[in-house]
Amino acid sequence: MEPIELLKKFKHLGADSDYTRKSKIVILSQGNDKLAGFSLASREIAAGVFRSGWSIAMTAVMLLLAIGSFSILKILSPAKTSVVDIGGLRAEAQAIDAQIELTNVFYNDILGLENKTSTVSAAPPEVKSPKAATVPTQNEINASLGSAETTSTKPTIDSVLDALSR
Amino acid sequence: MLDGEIKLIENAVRGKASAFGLLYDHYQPKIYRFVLIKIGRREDAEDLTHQVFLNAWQNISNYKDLGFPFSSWLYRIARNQIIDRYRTKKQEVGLEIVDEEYFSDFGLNEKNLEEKIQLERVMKAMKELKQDYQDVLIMRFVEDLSVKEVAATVEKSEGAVKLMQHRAVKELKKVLEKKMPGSENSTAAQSAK
Repeated sequence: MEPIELLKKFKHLGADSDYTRKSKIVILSQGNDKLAGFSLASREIAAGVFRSGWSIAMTAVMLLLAIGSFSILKILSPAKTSVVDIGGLRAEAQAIDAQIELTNVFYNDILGLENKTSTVSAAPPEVKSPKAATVPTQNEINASLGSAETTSTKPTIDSVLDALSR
Repeated sequence: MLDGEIKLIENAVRGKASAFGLLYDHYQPKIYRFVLIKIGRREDAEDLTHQVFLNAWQNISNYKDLGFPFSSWLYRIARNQIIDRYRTKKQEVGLEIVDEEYFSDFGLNEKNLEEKIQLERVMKAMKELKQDYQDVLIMRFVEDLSVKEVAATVEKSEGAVKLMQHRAVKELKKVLEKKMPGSENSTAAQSAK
C-alpha cells in the first residue's frame, strides 16, 4: 500500500471524550492573567478619566456660575456697579503723580543748591551718580550750609532738616 | 476553517472564554492527532495537547492575524512543545528500548488487527524521519492542510514545502519497505534476534 494511503488512515484518530471535556474545563478555568491584568488596568484608567472629567466639569460649572453671577449683578443693579467713579480715580492718580513730581522738584532743588555752592565741581550735575546725590557727605552739607550763608538765597529750615536727615 | 472564525478569534483575544472554547472544540482533535502521531503514546499526547491549548489561551493576547490561518499558530505551539519534550526526555528513553511498549497503548479502536499492525508500522517508520518531514506528512496527508498553510506553520516557502513533501514521501516509502516482514532488512533483524 502507498504511504500516503496509509497516512490517511490516521484521520479517524481522536482523543478520549472524557479527557477532552476535562482538559477544556481546566484550560478555560485557568483564566487569562495577561488579559485580566489588562482589563484591570483599563478599568483603573477609565475610573481615573471619569474622576478627572468630573472635576473638570465641576470647575467649569463653578467658573460659569462666577461669571454668570457677576454679569447678572451688573445687569440687575447698575447703580451699585456705577459707584466706581472713573473720573475720581483718574484725579486721584494724577494727584499722586503730582506729589511725585513735587518730591522730584524738591530733590532737584537740593541738587541745584549743591551745584551752585560747589565752585570746583568737575563733573556736570546730570552725570552725578544717584548714590552721591542721595547721600550727601558732611562736607557737602557744611558747604551747602556755609554757602547758603554767603549767598543771598536763604535756605529754609525744612530744606536744611531734610539735608541733615539724608 | 471554522465558520465565523475571525470573529471568534477576535473575541478570544479579548479574553472571552466561550469563544476560545469553540476554537478548542474545532482544533483540539487536529492538534491531538498531530501530537499523537509524533509522540506515539496516548498519555503523553493528551498531556502535550493540553499544554498546547493552555499555552495558546494564556498567550492569545499576543496573537496577530498576519494572514495565516489560526491553525498554523496552534501547530507552531505544538511543534515547539514537542521539541521541548524531546530535549528533556531524550536522556531518559531511547526509541529502541520502548518500541513495543511505546505503541501498545496507541488507542486505536480498530476492528482489524492487520490494519492496527500496519498503522503501528507506519508510526515507527515516521519516527525515523526528520522532524520537518514528519510535520509535512501529517499536515498534508492526515490533516489535509494546503501547501500554503503548511508553509506558514513550518515557516518555509511553499516551494520548500513541496520539495520536503516529495522527499518525505520517498523517505517514508523506503523506511516502510525496509520494515516490511518479507524484506531483506526485516529478515536480517529477525535472524539477529
